[in-house]
Amino acid sequence: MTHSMPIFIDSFYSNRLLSIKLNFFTRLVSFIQGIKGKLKFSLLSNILSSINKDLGKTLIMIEGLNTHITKQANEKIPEEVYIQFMKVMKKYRSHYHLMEKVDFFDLDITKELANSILMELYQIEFKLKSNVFQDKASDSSDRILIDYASKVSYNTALQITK
Amino acid sequence: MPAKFHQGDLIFLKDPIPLPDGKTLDHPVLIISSNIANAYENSYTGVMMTSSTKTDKFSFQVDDLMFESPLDKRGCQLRLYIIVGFKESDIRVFKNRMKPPFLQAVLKQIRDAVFS
Repeated sequence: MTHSMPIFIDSFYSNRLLSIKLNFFTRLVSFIQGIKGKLKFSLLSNILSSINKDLGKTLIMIEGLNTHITKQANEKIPEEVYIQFMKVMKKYRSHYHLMEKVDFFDLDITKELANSILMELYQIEFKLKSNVFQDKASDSSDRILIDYASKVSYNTALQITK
Repeated sequence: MPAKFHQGDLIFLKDPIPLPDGKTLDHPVLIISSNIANAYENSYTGVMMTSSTKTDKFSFQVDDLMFESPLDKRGCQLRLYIIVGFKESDIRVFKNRMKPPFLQAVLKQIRDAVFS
């Protein structure tokens, strides 16, 4: 396993059905709301249990990836890995948005799993960028922002201490 | 008295940023201080947002899905280490609000990148 393999960094690669399921089920759930009786309950519980199972699997894979990245902290990671990972993040954010639109199917467990995956992904993103860009000098365009922030903060401090 | 603005609010300050060519530019600021701190003397702490495309360890890329309404610009980022203190009277306008899970991710990265 090497860092340059895009599959290594894509936690959704072996769980590609999750995208399809989420796209389809978030629409289907709104439709099912109109059905009455036992059929509705049975359809909903099967769909939701399947989504939660997939989210659970994804979370385990991402936690594994997080541990792996932590262990590789002393090795230089190529920028390509970070670029690939940002595509993974983008994909998950769109999944997250779909679930958010249906209020995570009104299930705390789904919301908890979705949020845990999001937080794990941001932890990995932070570790990757800290590694990949560790030697990069600060951006010259930051200078203007720094001067501005210093000026505003200084004036605020003066007002508070008056 | 409770603060008028809250943690996660994206606001514009009254004074635009003066540029070297004499023009000025409005830069959004994301409020990161807690609501308890905001209510104290109505002072706030924020982190600067920019449309710079440079990526480094202090970049936090943001997009429409992270906010309650779409951003005006694409390809924006928060500069995690450029932190600004300001008072309520310095705020010109409320622009948007970041959704809580993304705000938590920003706060964690600021803690890890700037204060660890």
